[in-house]
Amino acid sequence: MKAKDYNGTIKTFPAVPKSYGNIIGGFDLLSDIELQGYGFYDVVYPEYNDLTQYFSGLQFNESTNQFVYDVVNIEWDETLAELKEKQITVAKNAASDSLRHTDWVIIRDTELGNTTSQAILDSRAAVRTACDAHEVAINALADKAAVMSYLITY
Amino acid sequence: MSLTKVTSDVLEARYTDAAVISSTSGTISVDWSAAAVYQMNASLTGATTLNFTGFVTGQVITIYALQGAQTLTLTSDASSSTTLHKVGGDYDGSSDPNVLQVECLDDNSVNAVFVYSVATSATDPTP
Repeated sequence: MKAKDYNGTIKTFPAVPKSYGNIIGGFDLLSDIELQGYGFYDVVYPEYNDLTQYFSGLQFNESTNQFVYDVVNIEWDETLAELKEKQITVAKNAASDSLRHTDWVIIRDTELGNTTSQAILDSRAAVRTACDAHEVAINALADKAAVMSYLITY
Repeated sequence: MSLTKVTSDVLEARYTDAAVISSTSGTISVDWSAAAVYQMNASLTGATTLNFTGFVTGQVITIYALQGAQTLTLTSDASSSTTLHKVGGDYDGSSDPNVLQVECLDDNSVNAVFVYSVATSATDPTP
């Protein structure tokens, strides 16, 4: 992606246009250096955490000759406690989804008096243990960004 | 017997003649006083600038067999600026030959103005 500054308004170009100014075709065939002569520079996306940050406006970096997106930290309206509750709910819902795959086995075995596979019992126990561990870990976090970037896996 | 109709024979070369452009890259001077129709002799081989000279307001030239996946720029010998108004799309010489038609809207020697249209073309006996 390229971008160009039009008197303070930065316009991005997902693809280099085929024509520009008095060039009626093949503008997209010019080299990066030649494009810079027309004010077209690369756009750079810095590394960021999409759970806690987002891209804002473009700024031109004169030392690298690139347009670089500003990375801004998300400001949450909720309190730390509310965000923790939100993440714990996510963890519990994910555990529920994981257990749901074998719920029918438990129901069948309970109804029929069958012995449930130990592997299934172990995997369900592991999910419950992990869910409890996630809840403890989330509650131990001290700031909003850490809570919202907490990775929940089963 | 007096002349009652203006025939092609009495018009300047700029309105009647055809010419061939043999250069295929770099800056190519296109003298509008020499011909109305220009045929490119071969595909463009490098970035090309067509530099218009000798144009007059209202004149139209046609450049055909214009081909080659190269950067194509139009300019003129106007001392300050050459303004181009595009009608339609862009030049794309990657496959088919193009026809470029340019009309001079203002032959001001300082700030010349043109309107152009360019598109790929093919021989078509059943339009």
